[in-house]
Amino acid sequence: MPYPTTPYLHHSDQPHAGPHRPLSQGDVFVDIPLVGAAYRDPKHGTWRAPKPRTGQDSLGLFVTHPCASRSQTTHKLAPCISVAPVVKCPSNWGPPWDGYYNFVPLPSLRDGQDYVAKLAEVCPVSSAALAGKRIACLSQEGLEALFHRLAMNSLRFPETPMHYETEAAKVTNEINLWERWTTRCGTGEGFQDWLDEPFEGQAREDANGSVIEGSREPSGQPRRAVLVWNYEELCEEFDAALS
Amino acid sequence: VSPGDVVALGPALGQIPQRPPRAEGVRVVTRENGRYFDLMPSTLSSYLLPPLADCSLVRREARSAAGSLRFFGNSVELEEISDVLRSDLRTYFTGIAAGLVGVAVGQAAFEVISRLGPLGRTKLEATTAPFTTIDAPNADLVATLAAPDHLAAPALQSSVQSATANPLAPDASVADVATRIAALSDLSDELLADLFKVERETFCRWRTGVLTNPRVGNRRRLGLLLGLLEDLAGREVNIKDWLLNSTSTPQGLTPYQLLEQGRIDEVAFRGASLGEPSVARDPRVAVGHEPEPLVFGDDDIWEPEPLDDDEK
Repeated sequence: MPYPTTPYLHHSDQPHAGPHRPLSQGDVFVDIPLVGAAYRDPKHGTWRAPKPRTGQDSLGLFVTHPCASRSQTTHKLAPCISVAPVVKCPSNWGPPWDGYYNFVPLPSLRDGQDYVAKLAEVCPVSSAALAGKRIACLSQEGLEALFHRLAMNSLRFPETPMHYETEAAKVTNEINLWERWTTRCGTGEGFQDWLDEPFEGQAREDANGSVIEGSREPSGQPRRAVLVWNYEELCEEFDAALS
Repeated sequence: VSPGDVVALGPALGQIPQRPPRAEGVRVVTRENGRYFDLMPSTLSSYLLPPLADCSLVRREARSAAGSLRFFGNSVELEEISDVLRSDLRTYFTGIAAGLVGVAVGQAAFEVISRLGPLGRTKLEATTAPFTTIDAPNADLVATLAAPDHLAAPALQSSVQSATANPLAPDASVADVATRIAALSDLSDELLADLFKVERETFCRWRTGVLTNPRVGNRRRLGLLLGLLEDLAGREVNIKDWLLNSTSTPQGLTPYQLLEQGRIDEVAFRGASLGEPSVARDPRVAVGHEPEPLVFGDDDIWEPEPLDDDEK
């Protein structure tokens, strides 16, 4: 699949991009502690861990899928998140970003300069260290591209099944609504409960394409189950709930 | 018999054609004037135009039309068609009139032609098809006239291959997208309309280009459904059969029923594993149960590194 030129939804040079948006897969952070692979000390022959990378040049990409990075009941972030270190793009690689599937391109991430996330060096980062440190989060299109990169890197799975699109849409739409909830309410509390409530249904349209008032019928599904197909209707319910 | 009635077909109803039917093709006899004609493979070949691939519009509109439609040479005259239907039909026939021969037909002809659309697309199979005599005294005619089973699959496959060989442009029109959805899925306008919670006529008008401005949500949903169907087409599955008949969910729902409920992500998930053993989604994720914490041994401990001398 073609890699998007601008894969970001929120993007800023300094943290915290999208301040009310919950942290999620595809987010890019700055000034987070990254640990590298242990190396054998040439002098003593023992294994030693490199000094953790920190500071303004310590960037990382949130790799873990939301289902794995958050509690299914409390929806709080797991204590530890998988993060791929992000470094400046090698000078001999660029669009259309063919090959090198162990790198996730992050075009124009900082100061107009391209960066890449190194999937071969994914490391654990305490979720507490991520708070307030985000400089970018991926759009739905960017998230789909990330899925493809992850599959190619881990499995050499070349297809881009529709599952990627619906999964990216599901994640993006949920986080979008969650962000709006937090912006409006000042807290994310209550959002997940709202999402588990029954969907009120999609209004029918007449032969001219006009909405038939009062034609909504609940489908028996929770809102969470129709995040992809009925996002517009969920937004209407969302606005009604918070009005 | 009023114009527009479902006509009798074939000799079974006593309206015997004046000469024996040909060995292949389909004979159509109209009740309104007793005339008949044979739709032969050579004639069918002139109907191979893509717009005829899904003639459910014609079939349904003709059923509710009060009058008959007449073809003259390369043109079509619409008679006694309500204003509501006129624009749809006119738009539709503009696309196919060039291939039609000069024969007067009533509703039955439309019924038959509409059902022969998919059949006609596979000319090779059509030329070997046996003659079909149909006794259809009521509105079940359409179902009775469906192309023989042995022809349906190749026609569908041909449609799917054609659709996947020429992917739509990103800025394709609503009509293009809806037409491609109908071709790939082989579902009726009514079934497709139900997915979008619109009237059947609305989906017809999207497909024929009469209505070009679906609401934002449905415009997006058209793209989503097309993406799903193109994905399925690439997996060489009989899409219609899979959508309507496979029941791999714990609740026994078909993919079409899941789509009706707005669960396209679930359908896409199932589609991704077509041809492979079914992979069940972890139900705990769906219902929000926390998985039971796993208990690791004492090898899962990170000991802090001793501080260097200058850090003490």
